[in-house]
Amino acid sequence: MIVTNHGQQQSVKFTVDTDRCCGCKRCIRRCMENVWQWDEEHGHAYPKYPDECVLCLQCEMDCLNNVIDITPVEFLQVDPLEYSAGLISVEEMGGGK
Amino acid sequence: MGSVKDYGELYTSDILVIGGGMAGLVTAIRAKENDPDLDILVVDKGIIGWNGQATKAGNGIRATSKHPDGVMNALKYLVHAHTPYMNNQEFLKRYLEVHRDNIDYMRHCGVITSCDDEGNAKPLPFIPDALDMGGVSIHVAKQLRSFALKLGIRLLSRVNLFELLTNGQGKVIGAIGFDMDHGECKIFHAKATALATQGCHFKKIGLEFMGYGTGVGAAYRVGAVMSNVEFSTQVDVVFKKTNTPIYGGFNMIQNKNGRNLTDHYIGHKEWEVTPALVEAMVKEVKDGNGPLWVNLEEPDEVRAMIGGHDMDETTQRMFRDKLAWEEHVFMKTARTSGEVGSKPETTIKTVIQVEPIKVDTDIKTNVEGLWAPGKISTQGNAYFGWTRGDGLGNASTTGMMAGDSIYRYAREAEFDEINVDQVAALKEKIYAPLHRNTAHKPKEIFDMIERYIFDVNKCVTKSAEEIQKVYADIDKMKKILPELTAEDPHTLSKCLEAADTVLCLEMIFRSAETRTESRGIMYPHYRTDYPKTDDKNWLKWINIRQGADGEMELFTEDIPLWRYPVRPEGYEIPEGHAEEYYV
Amino acid sequence: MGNVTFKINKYEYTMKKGITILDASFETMKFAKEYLQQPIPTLYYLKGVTDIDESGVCVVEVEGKVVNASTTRVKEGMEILTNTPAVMAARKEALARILANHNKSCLYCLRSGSCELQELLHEYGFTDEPELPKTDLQQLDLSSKVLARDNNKCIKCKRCINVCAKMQAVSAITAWGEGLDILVTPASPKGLAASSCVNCGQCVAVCPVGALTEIDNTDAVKKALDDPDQYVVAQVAPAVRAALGEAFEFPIGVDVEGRIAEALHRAGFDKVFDTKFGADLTIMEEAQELIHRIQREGVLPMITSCCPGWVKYAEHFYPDMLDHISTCKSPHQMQGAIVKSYIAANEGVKKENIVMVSVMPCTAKKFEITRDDECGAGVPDVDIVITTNELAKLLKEKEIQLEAMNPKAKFDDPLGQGSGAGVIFGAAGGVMEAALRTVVEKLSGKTLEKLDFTEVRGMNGIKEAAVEVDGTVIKVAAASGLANANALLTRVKAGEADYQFIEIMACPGGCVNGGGQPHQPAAVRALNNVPALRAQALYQNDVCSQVRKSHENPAIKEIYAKFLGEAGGERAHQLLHTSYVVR
Repeated sequence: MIVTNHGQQQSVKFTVDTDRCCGCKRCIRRCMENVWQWDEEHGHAYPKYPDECVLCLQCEMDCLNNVIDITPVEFLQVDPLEYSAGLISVEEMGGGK
Repeated sequence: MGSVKDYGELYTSDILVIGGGMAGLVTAIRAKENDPDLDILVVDKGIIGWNGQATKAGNGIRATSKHPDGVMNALKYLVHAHTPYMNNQEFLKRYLEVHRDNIDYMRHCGVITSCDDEGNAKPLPFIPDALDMGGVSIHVAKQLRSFALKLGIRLLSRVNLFELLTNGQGKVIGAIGFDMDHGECKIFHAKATALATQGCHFKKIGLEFMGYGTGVGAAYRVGAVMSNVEFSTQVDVVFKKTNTPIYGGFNMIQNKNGRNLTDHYIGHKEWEVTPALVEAMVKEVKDGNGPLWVNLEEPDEVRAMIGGHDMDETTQRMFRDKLAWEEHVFMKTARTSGEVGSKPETTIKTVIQVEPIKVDTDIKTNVEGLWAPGKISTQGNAYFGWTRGDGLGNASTTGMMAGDSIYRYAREAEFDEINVDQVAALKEKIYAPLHRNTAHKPKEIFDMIERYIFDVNKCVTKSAEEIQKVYADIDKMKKILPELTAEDPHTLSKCLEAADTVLCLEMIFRSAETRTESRGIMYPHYRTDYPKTDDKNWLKWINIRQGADGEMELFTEDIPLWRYPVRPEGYEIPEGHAEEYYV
Repeated sequence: MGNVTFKINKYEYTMKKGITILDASFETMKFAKEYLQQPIPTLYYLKGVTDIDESGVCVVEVEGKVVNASTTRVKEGMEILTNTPAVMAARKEALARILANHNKSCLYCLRSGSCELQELLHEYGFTDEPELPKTDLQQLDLSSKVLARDNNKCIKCKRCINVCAKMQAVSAITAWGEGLDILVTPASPKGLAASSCVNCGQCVAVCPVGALTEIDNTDAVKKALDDPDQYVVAQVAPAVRAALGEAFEFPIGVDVEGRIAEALHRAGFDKVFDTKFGADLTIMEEAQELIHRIQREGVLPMITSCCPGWVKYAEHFYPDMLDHISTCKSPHQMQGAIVKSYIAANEGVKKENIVMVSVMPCTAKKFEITRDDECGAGVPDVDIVITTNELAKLLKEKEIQLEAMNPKAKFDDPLGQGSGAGVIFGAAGGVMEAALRTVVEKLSGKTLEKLDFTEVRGMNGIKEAAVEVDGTVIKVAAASGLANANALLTRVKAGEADYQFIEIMACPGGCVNGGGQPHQPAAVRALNNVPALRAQALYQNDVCSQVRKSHENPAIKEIYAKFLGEAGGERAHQLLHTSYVVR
């Protein structure tokens, strides 16, 4: 399962091999931002709310079967200095698209 | 009219602790140790033991030196350190006295701290004879959880609380919220309540953790006073590629022509990222002199002091868990973005925090039956020192102080009856977004708020004109808030959090507008239209509370320096007051 | 014996001569230098069960060579490195070899989450997934109603063989072949049920993976709970309260008595009783029987019958000594019989509609309920037995958080009341101690001053004591672990010992170390005496009990007065006593 988010500050790609999820729910336990949820039907965890991810990567570290791979696609999409200097407009910031 | 149980599952306990991070657990543990007969329930929206900032943020913990003059030395140091003379020195003195046993108490609670060969805690002198520093396991919350369970404290995970319940006299007697998995309503009834949720952080990027200010909002609505919200912004200089801090690199910034910004605009070495430097950086970029970069090959004394060198063996040993985690994150970052190189481009990263609940020396708020230990009150207690670098020490120390005070209250207090009408009204308010059907999602609000983090003119160098622009935005957001729609417990909590985040945002700019001066080094308040520090008129705290009409009400309070040991040079006791402090 | 000084990962230690590298690495953990290192990983090694770890993961580097840490002894000046690239590669290779033959159906495996192999794979970063071996049904042994063996998951560590032969003197499991090619099988080709297996479950407790598990009965419990016509009654054995917490991340040895009571109420049981009451009843009957045998010169020594593992063992291996075993049923059977007679009449429920669920630390209890002559009230005394592990699973499925339950909650009256004597049944020597408190008082007619018979406490395999009552000396012994029982009985048969009363528990350390208790991995067992910690919680519970003698339990007095008549009487005999068969 591949899930991506597009925040205005960072974009993150979640690659989750759900077939190998062992069901320990450590990712759910670890996540402070409630990204992970349990899929009752298929019996595995998955990132239901990827937008909330703060890239602490602790779910990835804790995963028993190394099923989770979180890759930041881009760290900083808007340079605060350029934005404050008026070189980027609000429209160019995107976010949520 | 039915009974409370018709509205949701009811939990009753002598003490209710909201928030199961380090501060909440220490409060509960300390209270339980003081009186083992008390029934204490800790509630958290995540899973207690794996949640809270302590499991991720720094892993050093400080304590006041055991030197006989340790407390006074630390106090003098802290008063001068960051926002001179704004501290509540009464609070600070009591805090530092408790802070002395900080590391020892953590060890007592089963927390693994750095130790010598015999296994005794042996903190390193951080500021000699004033503050010590030790390492603490990154699994501190889990270790505290174990200890709490051993004592017989009850822990309830995955319940998010949004509103406090009060009796007719305004005393807090419980809370209401819902279960994060199924959205079932949960009602809590207690004799005393400790609010140990964190504050509100308008930041959500690489390892910065976002609190949403729900605790602040709930306390505000029951009449708690907030304080010092204008001192809320901190700036880091970071690698543009990875957005990770260049520790101590702020004197090394050059524009594309190789001109050093510190030399050119400031003229002396800085020890913090000052608003003047940020202003200069924006100006350079605006003038087309970007990109800015730092030369890591060139030695710099400030960088060498703050973070340029490798850690020695003892320190590494201390930070093992943290290092393992950081290495994982670093490897991942390096794999994605490549090396930063020796002449990396640089930019800034701002952190805005609102942690404003005003508390007394017992961590008690002005509302009866409500305590506020931990991060939620670090601005409100007017500590103004190294708290923001000692989050763990602050959590444990304020937890200890709150625990020592709350148990006496809970032991004497009676259960006041819950007002069923109030429960019904609050439940309806909490669940309202579920019954709407509009296109407005909470992300809309958070995206608008996140923009302030990029906008130096609004978050660092404020002015009357920019503040007015923010007010216009806040009005816009306030129109959207009652329209937000939720479909499950997660988005429902996001809708409610959005409202409280907007409230916190308004608090910042209301106080910033009122304070017509500039002040402070770390977490500064800076007004371009009032760039000077004005000790004559502004040795005051700005407080906020909800007025009788429901609108925000601001009032100032003179800092009672006549009662304090450390005063500015040439300070004169104002009329109507007498010298009250004798050493 | 002299000392040797050596280095592990560059840190110097001094320990006694002859210690293995593995034991030395465990010793270092006791220095509270947790930040220094982690212990060397093991898969086959288990303290007291398997000394040599041939799995290939238990390796370190010494002088450039990779050596087995469990067989190499430390020499003077040795420099040991535990995490060099060569060591890591060797461990990874060993894990890959084991993994190739392991059925990785983790998602459905009962052991998932507490599996030692899974933990190691996690630590050594296995990301590539070879093809999953299909489950070979030929390799699945479901013949026993109690224990399931799945050779598809077996990693050939031989811990089960060792524990069964060495600690239990049963040898129901054997092995053919060598190295990773060996096949672990039951001693009987027809499967475990046909062998001399006594169902003690020690093999389940030591299995590092999910190759040996108890047969899961939680579905039957859930079905009964969902059926509105069934009156579902639970009873909880003493040892469960000392260990259930571990499945919910409590520290080892925390008493969760009250929390279990509330959790079971929330799970939907109509009545929740405490087997402490049954234990008190057992003491009343057993004490009466012992006094009877002493005074009327009956068969002595009398041996306890509380442990179904021991009873089956005696039926297999000591058929000539069945006269010595007390005819009393085990506590949970007695309690079941009372529920289906006395409680059924009191509550006005048909005994056929009662579903009696026993929560036990024991797998052998699952076998016990299928024995003949265990139907005191005309229907089976107990319908379903679930182990501590299964209860944890049930609570997790019902989303009941044990940590949020009130530690001071109570069991239902009247069978929820038990004495301190009843609770120590869970620890080895506890039945003996509880019986002595009653027997000595009954024989002498005086009140006992010192209630603690510390001679029969502790984790030693065989414990002896002599108690003087009015000039006559009662000699008693307590054995735990069937190998110890075997040794003791050999002496008794040879006439070398003249005890009047013997307690035998099949599991080493008693019920607290039962086969159905939560799994603790080898590293935890090497550092902590897990059964001793759990037993400590029970002794603490005893000290805090208001009533510490079975015959003073008001509920016991009441039931004898109102229903049973006198101890050892006709009605008591019909309900509470049983008979044995030669197997």
